[in-house]
Amino acid sequence: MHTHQKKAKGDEGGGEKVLLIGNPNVGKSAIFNLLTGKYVTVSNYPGTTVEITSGSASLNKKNCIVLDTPGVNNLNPLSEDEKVTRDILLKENPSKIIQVADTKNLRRGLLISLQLAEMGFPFLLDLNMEDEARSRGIFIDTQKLSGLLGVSTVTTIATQRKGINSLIKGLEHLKSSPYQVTYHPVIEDYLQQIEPLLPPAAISKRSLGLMLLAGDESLKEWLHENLSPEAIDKIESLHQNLQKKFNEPLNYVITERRLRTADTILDQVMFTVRPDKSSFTARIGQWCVHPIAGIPVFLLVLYLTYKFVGEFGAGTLVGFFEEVLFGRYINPWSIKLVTATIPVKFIQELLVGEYGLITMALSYSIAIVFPIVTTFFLIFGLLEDSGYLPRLAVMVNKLFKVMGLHGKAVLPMVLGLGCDTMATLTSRILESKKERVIVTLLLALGVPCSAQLGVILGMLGGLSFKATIIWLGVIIGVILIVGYLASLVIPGKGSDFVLELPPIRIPQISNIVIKTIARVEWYLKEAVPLFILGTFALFLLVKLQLLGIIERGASPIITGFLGLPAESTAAFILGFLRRDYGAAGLYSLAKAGAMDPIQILVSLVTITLFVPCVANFFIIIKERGLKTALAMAAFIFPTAFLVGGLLNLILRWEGIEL
Amino acid sequence: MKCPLCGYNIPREKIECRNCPMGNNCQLVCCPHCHYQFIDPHSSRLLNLLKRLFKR
Repeated sequence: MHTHQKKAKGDEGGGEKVLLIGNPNVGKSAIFNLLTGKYVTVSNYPGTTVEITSGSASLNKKNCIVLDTPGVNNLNPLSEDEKVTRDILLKENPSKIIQVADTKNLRRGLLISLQLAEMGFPFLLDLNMEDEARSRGIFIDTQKLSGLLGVSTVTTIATQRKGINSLIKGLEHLKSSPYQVTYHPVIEDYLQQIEPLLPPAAISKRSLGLMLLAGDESLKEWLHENLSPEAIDKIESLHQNLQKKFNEPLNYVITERRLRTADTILDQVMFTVRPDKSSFTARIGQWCVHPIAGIPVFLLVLYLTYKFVGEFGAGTLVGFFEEVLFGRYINPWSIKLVTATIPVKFIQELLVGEYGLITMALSYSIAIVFPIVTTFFLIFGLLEDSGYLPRLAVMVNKLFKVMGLHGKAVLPMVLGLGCDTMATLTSRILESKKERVIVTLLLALGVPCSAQLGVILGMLGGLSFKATIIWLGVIIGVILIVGYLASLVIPGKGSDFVLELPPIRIPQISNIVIKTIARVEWYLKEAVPLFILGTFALFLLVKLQLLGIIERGASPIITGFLGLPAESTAAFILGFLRRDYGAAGLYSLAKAGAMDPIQILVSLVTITLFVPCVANFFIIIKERGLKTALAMAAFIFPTAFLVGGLLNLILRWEGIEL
Repeated sequence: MKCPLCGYNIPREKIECRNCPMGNNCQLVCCPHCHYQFIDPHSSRLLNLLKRLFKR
């Protein structure tokens, strides 16, 4: 992930400087993005590693440079981020300041407001995330707050672009706040003594004096540039004398006084109403985590996913891509073009043969996997944004408790639904080595990542919903049994599982579409090279006449125990590289009518229990060592075939129809 | 950026990718609060291209 989102064409033209300031996580960057154009500059603040983002904007018909400063909790700096923000205020002389505050955590925002008031800057207070505050039953009387502080106050919901026009309009008439915190009389007395010693600066002498009395070391350099050594000595002696009069550090005493003032303001402007627990969305949220009601909710989610991904994605869309786009156009055209232009038969077969890079790798990737994962990513985005996913984590936690595994282990398992490789890395949060090994094993064995789950559900879409339930039951059963057996050998106490549940909400379609596009792009970049590699390996096996030997060697397992056609061996070979590619191979066989419903289900269960992909295997080697990784592979692959074979026997023995 | 799992607002400077071996070109973001990994839509070239096309 790039932490440096440097976009081209930095825009450092002239104009008024507008500073965005506020606590961390209050939506400053979201406001910044709404105010500025598409080109922004990210640069380190001189002499530091702290990044400052700036961009140009036209606000109230004036050209401005907007600066997004690092989040601060105090302008008497305790961290490098806070020092940078304070230095910007001290040295950059901004003409306008927007203080962004989190409405639901206004107390810490007011601490900054009081300091800005003390500094004498004209500023506007933006109460952002107003919707989240409201959902928690927190309401702010903005008019009263504005009256008390003497500055304009607006409310915004930056993520929904609400209130931005009022915010821009509010910038036209900014005022300094006349509100001043009154400190202990001794501090006030020392302030009177220190202020005459200070040079003129962008921030008020009272504010500077308080920083110096609090013993702000970060101002030393600035003092040396602007004051004589004698004056600096006098300031230092004032600070030391004042400190002797208090038991607590002066920074603490001053901040404490500001916080008490913030509390007094809050008492007058904030009122809370108990959130309505009986609202429809709140009730849905409760059902989702209920031990009994949660199960039908989960089954309903699964059914809708099955309908959308399995029937629409894997049926309608794949039908169009495979039969029309590739079947009628791309493949015939490619074959014609390659045979006409490339005379070498080996290359012709490599590109457009039975195991050709175009006719197989590209065809599988684009015609089969692409429509299925796109539909699945749409559903996955919906689940994320609706708030269901964290509730699923709570339900899984309950399941884990049944098999005696520790609560903390839930997180990597749920994260595995996104990407197993990354979830394996997350298992580092677990305390003992044994726990980490077990979770890594369970992830590799039974948790399909989102793309793989999509392809598997796509294939299940061709069968009945009963087949989906059987598939799910077998996979959960395997995880439970392996997890339970593992928990028997894992001594240790359970760890707490803490996850804040966001409210159930209606997702924004535009957000879902954006996330799906980004996910599909990521998936194609990750998976297609492996698909090509897998096809090439298969092509070589055919050319070297090894595929037939492998098929014959594996036939007691593939055709005998699993009851599958010999051709499915090739799909399982691909499954060693990526489960979803193997599943795509099985899909192709099923569509060609080479497998009956029981064979499809058995093959799907088997491939679901494979190691997810080679990347995952490499991460297991990296995280747990080669020996453990090989031992896991030696356990996982036979288990996959064993479970698949047993399922085959049971389904045929019982004569279950799918 | 908001984590889709726990709702934590992730400041850019807190994105934790240092331990990840996937290198600098990975589009996944790891939430420092709950460790959930998700795709950062801003890093998608395709999305940026589409946005530019639609803006025209």
